[in-house]
Amino acid sequence: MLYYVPCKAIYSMKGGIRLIIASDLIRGNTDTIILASLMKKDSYGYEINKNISTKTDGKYEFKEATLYTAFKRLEEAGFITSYWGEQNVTARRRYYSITQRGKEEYLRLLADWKNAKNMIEKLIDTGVMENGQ
Amino acid sequence: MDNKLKAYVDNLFKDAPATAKAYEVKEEILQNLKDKYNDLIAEGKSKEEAYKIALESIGDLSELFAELEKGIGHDDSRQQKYLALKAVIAMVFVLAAVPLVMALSFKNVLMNVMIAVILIAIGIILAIYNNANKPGYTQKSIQTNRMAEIERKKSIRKSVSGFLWLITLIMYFIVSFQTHAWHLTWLMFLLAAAIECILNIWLGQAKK
Repeated sequence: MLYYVPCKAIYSMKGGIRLIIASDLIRGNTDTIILASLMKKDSYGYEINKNISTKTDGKYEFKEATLYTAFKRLEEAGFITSYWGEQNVTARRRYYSITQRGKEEYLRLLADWKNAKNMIEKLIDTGVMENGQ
Repeated sequence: MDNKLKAYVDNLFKDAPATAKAYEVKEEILQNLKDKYNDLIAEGKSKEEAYKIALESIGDLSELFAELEKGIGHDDSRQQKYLALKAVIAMVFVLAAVPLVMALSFKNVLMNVMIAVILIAIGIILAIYNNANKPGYTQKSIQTNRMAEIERKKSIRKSVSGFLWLITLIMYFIVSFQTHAWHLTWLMFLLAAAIECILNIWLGQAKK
């Protein structure tokens, strides 16, 4: 899947232009990442994004637009469901929960990713870095 | 600052489809931005900086709107349900005329009047329920959705309940004077109470 990355998105990333490839790869795996973050427990948009930010040492997080487009798409596909959390009145949060089908989809996507990662590694790694020259 | 964020997001969502779903997504995104803004302030960022970073995290919403546009079809099913129930109600009223006509032939008058009254009662209860569930919210009514939902259910319950007891009372006197079975007819009130319980559960009021 090809993703068009707006220039603004690239420059707003803390690593600058060097992170284009990482950014592209992450965006290409948005659904997998969201499903993965729901495997342990139900969560809401801001919490999911914050965890992603922490795990990447603040280098990456989804734009709200990307996150919610994915939520709606995954919900439509029956991979996740959502409900309003019973919390205080000032901050009502919508929680997302992975379904059985979602868990199966996650395992499939994870296998796909591992497969792709192996292939890409074989194709682009010439061993130059380890040998020094 | 919350108002400033809200005004900004409201403006962005001007092009969004006017559905309850889109409104909810807007609320969620706004809440996220508020959380983010507060976290950034807590980290020691200045107000202007925090506001700027929060706005930058929104991204391009056009794809999201397209996704929300897809979901609109669901509202149709509600519209269909409304129309289907309307047809059923009309049929119930027409059916109610049959025993009334038969009552005019002075055979089984009591029985026929009773059936007609019951049919009309069912028809009216369904009509009240259906009207309250009429689809076609405006953007404005979605905003007060939660409160309105509770108020709405309360008012349906009230009118249905009032109507139920009125019908029960009328039936009680008609049946009792016709049959003189006063020792049995009072059971109708127990029946009405049972029906009210069922209606309360149906309208989701029994929870609280």
